[in-house]
Order: sequence, then structure tokens, then C-alpha cells
Amino acid sequence: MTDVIVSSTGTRSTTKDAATLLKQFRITDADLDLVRQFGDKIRPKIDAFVDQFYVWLAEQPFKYEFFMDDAHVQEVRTQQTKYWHDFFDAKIDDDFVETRRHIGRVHAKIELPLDIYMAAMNNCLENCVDVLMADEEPGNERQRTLLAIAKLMHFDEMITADTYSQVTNEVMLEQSKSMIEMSTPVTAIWDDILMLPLVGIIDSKRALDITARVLEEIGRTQSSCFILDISGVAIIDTAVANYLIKITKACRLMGCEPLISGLSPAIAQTIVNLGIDVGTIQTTGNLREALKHAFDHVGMTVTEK
Amino acid sequence: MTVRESGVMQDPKSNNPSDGTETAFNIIDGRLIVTLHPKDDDFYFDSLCDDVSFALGKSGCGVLIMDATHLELIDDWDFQRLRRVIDVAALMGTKTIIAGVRPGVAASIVELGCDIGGFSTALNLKSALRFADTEIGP
Amino acid sequence: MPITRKRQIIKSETDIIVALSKLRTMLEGVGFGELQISSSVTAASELLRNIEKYAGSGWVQFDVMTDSRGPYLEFTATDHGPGIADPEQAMADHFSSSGTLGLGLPGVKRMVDDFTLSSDIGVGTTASFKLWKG
Repeated sequence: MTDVIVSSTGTRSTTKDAATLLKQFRITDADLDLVRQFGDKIRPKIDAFVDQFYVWLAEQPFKYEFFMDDAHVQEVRTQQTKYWHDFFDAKIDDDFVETRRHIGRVHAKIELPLDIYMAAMNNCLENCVDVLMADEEPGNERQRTLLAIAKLMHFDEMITADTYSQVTNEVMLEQSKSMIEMSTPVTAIWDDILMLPLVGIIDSKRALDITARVLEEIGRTQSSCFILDISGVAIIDTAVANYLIKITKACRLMGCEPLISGLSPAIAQTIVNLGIDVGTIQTTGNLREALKHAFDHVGMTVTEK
Repeated sequence: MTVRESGVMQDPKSNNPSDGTETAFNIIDGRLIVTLHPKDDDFYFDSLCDDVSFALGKSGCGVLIMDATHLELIDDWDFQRLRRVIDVAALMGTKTIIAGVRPGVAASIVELGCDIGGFSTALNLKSALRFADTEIGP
Repeated sequence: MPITRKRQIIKSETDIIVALSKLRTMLEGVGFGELQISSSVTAASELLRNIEKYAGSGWVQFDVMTDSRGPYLEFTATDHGPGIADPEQAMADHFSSSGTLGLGLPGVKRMVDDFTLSSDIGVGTTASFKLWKG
């Protein structure tokens, strides 16, 4: 399925080795030879190019947010110089790919925008063209060299950008996951009445977690009634419904009466359409009704003063 | 509502036979109370059904309360044995209440997909007795 | 014309969650009602969970299109798993080859407008549906 381009966990291209990637970018040994030959010409000028880039970078308003102090700038500069030497050595193996991935990871970690990386690449491309134009080689030879350089640059950019987006995605997923996980607050809202407002998405791991917490709270507080409010649950499919049914069954086994509240009209219809049998579980449309049932169950009445 | 704490009630532990082959019984106000304890061997649950049905027949109790407070683990095999006790009791016209099921045990029973119909549950022995009074009657 | 079509590889429960939230956002964006959204997302969830459970991995594609009946969701989930021996039987209530509640597919069929399931043993399974906003 070559046209599927997005994966949230995105391990797809990172598992590819150098040979596969080179083939994908149609970079031949002849291309690499051209880059190396050209490298001999440009190598003495790399330092000057990098200098030029930092002059440009200094003009950007956000520079100091990323390169805190001069020592840091010096370090990054050394890395960039090495980057171009590696590039023009054109020895593309798995180690090379790994160094590019490392750059993507580092950029993502310090949240350095990709446009700065791309600007650096662009800066180099401009310089390469300048050097090529001044060359005495015949025109089509120069074009082939330029094409080879461009291909290898795209190759580099792809690996770095891909790794960058992967790391960013992972961070995002981690954040949303931890947000989901921290919200399982089983609370005693009254003597003998426990309540859990479920919010977000329920997967198998979270379902286990919820079950464990609810049952432990029932054991600890010896509550005789448990209200599970599902109005904030994004999706109720058969898997989620089964988790909910299991939780309520286990509750009942412990001698605690489960109530499920917050079944919106849409969710209720969906559950019926799915053909899920909720059995004898007491369900209500809103929390208010559930509370009434709960008070009734523990033998209390709420009256107006 | 009063909870009758009968003098017949003994500490379940002191009543547990050390060899694990006999079942501990108490009768409080006409409720037959069985304390389930962690099995030492398979023989315990095997003999449970015989012992309980015999005790039910002899005592004429209309309510059987099984106290699971001391039970920390249960497997499919064990639950099938308990299931048999409940089914036999039901045939003898006795209602079963299981009391004090621990979180881990409750989760395992559900995970095993066991049939959990035909009996009532209570948080602990005290609420089981109260439940018997209010919902089932003498 | 802007490309609104979403495609995603499904390899884990996380991928499913991401795909479903994209689907929900897309449907909310074009003003689908709460019941249509609930039905679509639930149906999608059933199909994607099946991919994860039976095939291990697959991919999903969805988009909102428009025809004479108005805007509709077109959803396709494909895997290269073991396939289903008898798709018709799998669509019947209370059928499951895995010993769990075999509720998914008939439920999906009830919830959406145009459900098709094609499968080849050893090749994979494609399930798709449409659901009109109207």
C-alpha cells in the first residue's frame, strides 16, 4: 500500500535501511560519485557558508530562544559544519541515515522549527549553485551534478523531517494519553454512594484500570451504590459496552448496585442498533435520575426545606 | 431496622477446620452461614456442595449466606463448584446471598465469563443479614 | 477543490483512536447531527477494532462526498489479514469466530446506509459504508 502516507505512530520509513531509501529517491552510485567530486571543490568553502548562515540566523527575531548562549551556538555550528562534510563525503549507509534521524530527533526535542533546518539546506543549495556556475565543466555535466545534489538533499530532508514529525506525534500522543489516564476519579459523593464520571476514550488498558479502581474503592468504602456517568465518553461501541457491562457485573458481585447514567439519545440508539444487551443494569438518561435511584437504594429521600 | 447479632455467631477463623476438608457453618436467625476459606486442596470445594445441601436439609434454613471475605483467589473450577451449591440450594427452595467478594475475585469471575445469575450479593456479612431481613423475610 | 480525504494506517489501538477523532472532527465540520456522528464513529470503531483484533494491521480511508441526496460519509477499512470464510454468515446476528460476542458487523449494518463487506481467504477483508447526512 504505497499510497498510504500517514501513520500516527509512523514507524514506517524509519525501519527502512539506507539501500531501500536510496532506491526510493533514485540515487545511483553515479550520483554519489558526482556529489563527492563536487565535494572536493566546495569543501574549502563550507566554513564560509556556515558563517553566512549564522549571519542570516542572527537577523531572525527568534534566534536566542533556541541557541541560548554563544557556547551553544558554537556547538551547533560545529555540528552543522560536520553535517556538510558528511554530506559531500556522500557515503550513504545505515550509519549516515541514523545521523540524519538523530538530527531530526534533536530538532524535535528542542522544538526548533523545521523552517530553520530547511533554510540551512536552502542556503547550502544556493551556495552549491554559485560554485557550479563558476565552474568550467560543460553545461550538462553541471546539471547532472546539481540534480545529484538536489536528490541527496531531498533524501536528507525527508529523513530529518520524518523523524521530526514522528517525535512530535509521539509527544502529542503521550500528552493526550496522560490526560486521558489521569481522569478516573472515583468519588464518594454521599455515604454509601460512589460515583465515577467517565470522560474521553476508553481502550482496553484504561478499562482494566477503571475496573480495578472502582472495585477497590467499593471494597475500601463499602459503598452499596455506584453511579457510572458515561455522558463524557466519546465512543460506545461493542468493545466499550462490554467493558462497561463487565465493570457493572463485578460491582454487583461485590454487593454494590451499579447505575449507569448519562445515556444521550444518540448513544442509546447506537447501543440498541449494535444489539447490545445491557441486561438488568439500571440505566438513566441523566445524572439526576441516577442520583434519585441511588438515594432510593440506600434508603434515603431528598426533601425540600 | 435492626441487625440481629446472634450469640451463636462465632469467629469464623476459630471455626475453620485445620485440615480444610470440613465446612464451617453457623446458623443465625434461620440463615445458614458458610464461611468460604482459601482452599488447601481441591477436596474442599468438592465436598462443599454435599456439606451445604446436607446442612440445609437438616436445618431447614430458607437463606444461605456464603461469606467470601477470606477468599482471595478463584478460578473457573472453583466457581463451578460454588455454582453447583447455589443451584442445589435453589432447587431446595433456598435463596443464596454471597457476601464480601473481594475486588480481585469479582474481576476474575467476570473475566472468566461465569454465569452470575440466581444469587444475591452483599458488601459484607452484616449487610447480607440485613438484606435477608428486608428483602427475603423470615 | 481541497482534498479532505483522510487515510491512515491502523496498527494499534492508538491509531484507531486518532482515526476516530479525525473522523468525528470531519463530520462535525460538515454539520452532521449527533446521531449520525455517533453511528458513523461507532461503526468505524467496530470495523477498525476488527482489523486490529483479527488482522493485526490495515488501513482506513474516509471522506465526505456529495451526491443528489446531499452530503455523505464514505468510509472504507481494509486489511490483509486471514479474511472471513463466509461474509454473509459474519453479517448475521450472534456469529463470532473468536468466541466473543459476535455483534459488530450486524450492528454496523443497522447503523449505516450502505454497508458492504468483501473478503478473500488469505488475502484480506474490505469493509465499507456510506452514511448520508440527510
